[in-house]
Parts: sequence; C-alpha cells; structure tokens
Amino acid sequence: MNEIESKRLASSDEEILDLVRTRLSRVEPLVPVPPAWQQARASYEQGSRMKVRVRPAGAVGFGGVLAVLLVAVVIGMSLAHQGPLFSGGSNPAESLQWTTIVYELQPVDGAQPSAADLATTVSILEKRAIQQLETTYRVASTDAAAPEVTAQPPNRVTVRVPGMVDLDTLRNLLGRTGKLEFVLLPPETYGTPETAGPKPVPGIGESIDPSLPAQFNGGQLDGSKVAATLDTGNGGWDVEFSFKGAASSEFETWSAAHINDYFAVVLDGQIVTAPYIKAPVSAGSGVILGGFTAAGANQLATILQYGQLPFPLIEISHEVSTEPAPTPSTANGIAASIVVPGVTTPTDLPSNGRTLGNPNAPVTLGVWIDFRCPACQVFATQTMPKLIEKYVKPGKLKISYQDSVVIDSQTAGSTESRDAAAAGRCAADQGKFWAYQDWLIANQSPIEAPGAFTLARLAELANRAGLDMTKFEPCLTSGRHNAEVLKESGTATGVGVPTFFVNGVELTATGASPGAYDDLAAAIDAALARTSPTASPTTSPGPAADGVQTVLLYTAIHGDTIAVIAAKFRLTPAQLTAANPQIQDPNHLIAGEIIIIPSATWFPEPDSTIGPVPTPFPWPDSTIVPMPTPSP
Amino acid sequence: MMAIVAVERGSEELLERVGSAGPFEEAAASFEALYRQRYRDVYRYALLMLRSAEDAEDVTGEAFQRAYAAWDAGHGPSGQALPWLLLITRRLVIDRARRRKLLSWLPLAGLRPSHEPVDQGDTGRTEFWLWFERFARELPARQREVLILRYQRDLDDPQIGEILGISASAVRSLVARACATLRRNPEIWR
Repeated sequence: MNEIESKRLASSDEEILDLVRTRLSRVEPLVPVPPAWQQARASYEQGSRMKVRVRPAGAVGFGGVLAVLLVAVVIGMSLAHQGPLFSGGSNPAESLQWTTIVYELQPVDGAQPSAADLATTVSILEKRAIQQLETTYRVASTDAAAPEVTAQPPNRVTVRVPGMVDLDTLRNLLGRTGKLEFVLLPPETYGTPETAGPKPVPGIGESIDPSLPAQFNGGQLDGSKVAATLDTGNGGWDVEFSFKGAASSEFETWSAAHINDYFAVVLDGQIVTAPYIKAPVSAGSGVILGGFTAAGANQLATILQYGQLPFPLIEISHEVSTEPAPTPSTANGIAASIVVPGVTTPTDLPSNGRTLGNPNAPVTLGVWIDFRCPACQVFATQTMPKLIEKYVKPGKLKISYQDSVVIDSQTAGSTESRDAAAAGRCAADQGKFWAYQDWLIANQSPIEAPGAFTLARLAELANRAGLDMTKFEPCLTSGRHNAEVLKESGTATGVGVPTFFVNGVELTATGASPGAYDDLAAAIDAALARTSPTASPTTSPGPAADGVQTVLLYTAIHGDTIAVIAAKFRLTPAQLTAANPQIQDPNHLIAGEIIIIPSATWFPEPDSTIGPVPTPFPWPDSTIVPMPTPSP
Repeated sequence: MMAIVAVERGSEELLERVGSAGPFEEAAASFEALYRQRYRDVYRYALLMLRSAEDAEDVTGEAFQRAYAAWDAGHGPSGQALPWLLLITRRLVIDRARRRKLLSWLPLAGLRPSHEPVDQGDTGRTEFWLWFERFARELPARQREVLILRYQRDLDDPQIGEILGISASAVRSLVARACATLRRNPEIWR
C-alpha cells in the first residue's frame, strides 16, 4: 500500500463529505435574482393590461411570438379584474355552501322569450357553470357537487352552484348576455394613431357609443376554437378566438380597408379593448391578450365559447345556504370525487389487451407508462388523440402500453403504480383496457401523491368505466396480475415514463410535452417510409441552439489513445487535441478521462450490419453537452 | 409602494409576517423578500438536479409562483420555508426531468443564467460541470440528491426527509451509502 492510498483510507466520512461540500458550493456562486417576481405576482394577482394581437394565416397554437400584425393599444382593463370564481381554491366538496340565483329573461323590443329560448338559456348557463367548475377543480359534472340549473316556466331560471362562490364573480359569469361585437371607431370621430380626432379613443371598461354599428359579432366566432391559453412569454393568460367560415375572409377584407383605424372589441356594450389595425389580418384568428388570471381568461373564454344568451337576464333574487358536504375531500390535488375523463379513447378501433389499433400495422409505438405520472397524462390526453386520428385510424400504427412502476420506487412504501397497472390488466381481461385507462389517467394525483389509486378508488373507477364488477373486483383484490406488472416493469430498468419506442427503437430526447407529438410523428413517418419501398430522405441533425455548440463528451476507456478516439469519430488527432487543451499528455490518456469531441462529426463509422444509425448518440457512456461557440 | 423587508432575517420570521400581515401589499412584500432570500437556493437545487440553466430558471420561477398561489390560498408551510419551497420545486424538477427523458445536457459555460452578462466565470463553470458530471455518474440519483440537499443547502436530516418523503433515519442511511460510494471513487473528492 503506497502513501496516497493509506491517506485515502484514513479520511473520515466527515472529511470526504466536507470536500464534496466545498465542490458543490462552487455551483453558480453569484446567481443574480431576476426581478421577474413582481411581474409574476402581478399576472397572478390580476390582469391589468390588455391588448389584441392577431396572427398571420396558418399560425396556430400558442399565441407566442408570432408576427404581430395588429398592434395593440395597451390600456388598463376592467374585465380581467375578476378574481377567481371561488375563493382560495377550496374544493367545492369540502365547503358547505350553495349559492342560488334566480334570473328572469327580459323581453327585448316587446318580443317575449319562448319555451325554446328558455331551454337554450338553461343549457348555456349550465355549460358556463359546469365549465367553470371543471376548469377550476376538475370535478366531474355528474357529481353531487355539480351546479344545478333549472327552468321555471314561463321565463325564469334558477342556478344553484356549490362552493365558496364569490357572488359578484358568479353574477359576472352567468348574468352576462355574452354579446360580443367588433365595432369600427370612425376615424373622422376618433382619429388615427397619427392624428387625434374630435373625440378620444374610449378606454377599456367604458361603454361603447350605441349608435355605432357592429361589423362582426360573437355569432361569427368558431366556439370550438375559443380557448384560454397560457402566454408563456408574459406569464399571464390570454383568450384565443377564430372566426368561422366566410367571416374569416370578410374580416380580412374589412381589416385591409381600415388600416390605421381604431376598432373596439365590445362585450355587452362594454369595451374589452380598442386597438388599431396596423396591417390586414390574413386569417380570422386572434388573441385577446389580457394578462388575465387563469380564472378570468377561462371565464371570458367560457362566455364566448357557448355563445350569446337569447335574451338578457335580470336577477330576481339570490340566496346563500349551507348544507353538509356530500363527500369528504382528500388532499394532494386528488379530487374527492371521481373526475370524468375529458378525453376518451375511441371504442371503434381494433384493440387487443393493452394494444390499440390494427394488429398488422406496419409501425408499433411502445409506450412505457405509469398511471401516476402527470407527464403520462399529458401524453394520453394531448398527444395520443392526435396520433390516433392521424395514424391509428388509417391502420398505420398500433399503440402498445407497457407498465412501469417507477413512481412506486420513488415513493417509499407505495404500491399504487403497481395496483393501477394491475387493475388495467384486469380491465384488459374484459377487453376494456382503453376505456379504463381513460378513467385512470383522468384521476391521478397531479403531484403523484399516494391516495389516488387505492384499491377502493380503482374499483370505483372501474365501476364508472362500465366494467363487469363481479369479475373486476376479485381480479383486483386477489392481486392476480401484480407479479406480471412487476416483472414487466423490471425489464424497464432505467427507463423513465413515458418512454417511447418506435418499432423497437427508443426515441431519445422526447417527452410528454404537447410538442412531443411532432417528435413522435416524425419518427413514425420515418418508420413508415422505411417499410415502404421508396427510400425516405434522411434528416440531418438540426442547427445548434443560439450561441451554443453541441459537443459530445467521450469517456476514455482502457487502451484509448487520441489517435484511436479521433479515428472513431472521423477526426484528425490534431483536431481532437486542439479541442482538448485540458489533456496534459495526449500520449497517455487515463481511463475515465473525459474527452471533448467537437461537433459536426460525432457520428462514428456506422456498423454496416446494423443499417441506419437509429440515434446520433451511440455511446452509452457519452454525454452531450452544450458548449459556448468559441470566439475567434 | 413596496415595503422593504430586511432580507437578513430568518425566513421563518418572514413567513410569520407573510402569514399575519393583513393588508395584501404588505404580505406580498414579505413574500417578495422571501423570494429574494431563497431564489438562489431554489435555483441552485433545480440547476444541480436538471443540469440546464434554462430549465432551472423555468422551474424556479414556476415553483415560486406555485408557492405564492398555495400561500395565497392558505396552504403555506407549516414549519420552515425552505423545505417547503424545495418540496414544491422537487415535484416540478421530477416532472421536467421525466418529460425531457434526460440525456444529460450539461450547463457548461454555454448555459449561463439568461440574465447574466456573457463573460462571467465561464472557466470556473466548465470546471465545475466537468466535475459534477463525474459526481453524477458515480452516485446513484438518490444518494446524489441527498448530498446536494444536505451539503449544498445546509438542511438537517428531518427537513431533507420531508422533502424526499422519507424518514430522517432513511436520510442518514442514504448519506452513509453515499459515503461508501464516494470512498470507492476517490477521484470525485480528492
């Protein structure tokens, strides 16, 4: 034993840990604290600014940084000043309070509401109330804690809503007629951005001059495309809308004819925003940028989505009553009651156990899934429906689930991943796996807390999913499939969830984010192209991110020399040496030493027997790291 | 309008102020002080776990937003602030890591905090991350995390247990196992 080794052994645990502590403390010693908090708080607390941005043709999805054609006037805004519908995020089931409001339909210009108008009003109010409850709490509308809307002919409607409801907020949501109009503010009266008119442009929250005609109205919007979206740039919430059909091109023509004129977006006679038109709007879709709170944006979206009430409402009476809570609540974001799945797997597709789709499909997508994993929920509810639509229905793809219990292994003493997976197999025994997985996915805990998949809840979910309980319950309680689940999960060591395999090749660097669809679709397209006789164009690695050059870290193994490694990566030894000034002696590499492989050439010689290299990162011990672009 | 709250105070006292402050502005100002005091801790934890400055910034921002929302809804921490913040952060970190299907993007010099000027300490940063890469390779995830929490954050065992969802004695046994791993890999700490 030489001196160094004996010293090493002499180190106490405390000394070792102390050295590690010193090392760890060197991470980013001087992180500046960004001032973002004030903005974040402001957008959380209440939206106070608003503007409208309209997207160019073809751009869909998040209202991010796409070209701004119609620039906004930013003014303080009253509509967004609506707190959350329910105070403090309390679960409605846990509160004892019910709020009841009675409305009467008001005749307009002497026209009396018909029975059909009353029914329409009930239906719209119900949708508004339910949508709000569901987006706030994800509570099932069929539950005991659901809002009740009843018609009282000839012209009254009673709305009963559970929870600690702020009365004014509720009135704001329900009592609004929801009449949305786009009104031109004539330049001869209101001027243009360059020249002021005789009257100032009205501010947000002000009433619109009722003599001005509306050019477009809410009835021309496509209700299915109205949505509250998170503005990732500003941290607030926006409301997206789209005109439908002919109105879309009419809006374009109209906007082209009124460049530099102001117009107002008006809701029930009150101005939501008043921007001016900077350029023709070439697609009839836009975003109302409100810096809304989530609740405020949802509320506006809800009103727009379900359309205008046939007659204005007037409140006759309201009452706040209390009664015992129907169901006990649980913590950790697990709804006290069962959540009805918002997204359901089509039942008219061929399926076999945990595989969905044409059994002879040329491409198989293997998905490692843990029903407790929120990212898996994102996949199942956002990505999978698109895959089903595009690939599974035409018979090109089958999707096969594989069980992972990775979250159990991260949570001491928990077996809920296993139990949920086993329950899924019990459902598969009945040929109803896909229906059941919809319910599982919808009822997980958003923070993976235990309690979402107790045996009792799993059984209740099965009941709601319409399974044969006489077979399901014995299957679940006996733990018939537990061992199979653990065995399958055991083969997935090191695989996170969800992990995707396309025809057996793992998709690296993808995830369950909504954008994962693009990655998956690209991989599936490539696999389809491979199975067809025509060769597909090969894709090259994308350009590096701004100012960051991607390099590969290679860990030297015994027997490596600079020349050997350079040859592996088709570099010259000189290039490799130049990229690794930290190597003290290029002639004597130490096993375990990390070598930086410069970019562009880090595909090693492909092994001709394997065919195309499935992934650009073939070295198990390699790590891809971004490096700054070297300055000249 | 923003009240200045001394940041050198302990976070517990701050939280008490946050909890007891009546007027909204004052409470929010106290929460802001907590943010200023703990931002770095939360950020570094996220950075070490995710190894991407961009992700760490996102996660830290979101963690504070959630913390604020939770506090605003009356679900603030029952005890001290830091373990509570890290618990929130950890959920986000795990979620983020899972989505990303970790391919170990290391924040060498390239990924400095986005609001930092270009030429600050890139050399030291590269050196640190090359070391950390080795550290992370040798230590299993849980042993690594326990060391990060214990020695980068100076938390005690019950607090770490609270964050990881395990008991204090389980924390100690993880530390002991980490020591054993370190002993087998002396190049990490020598």
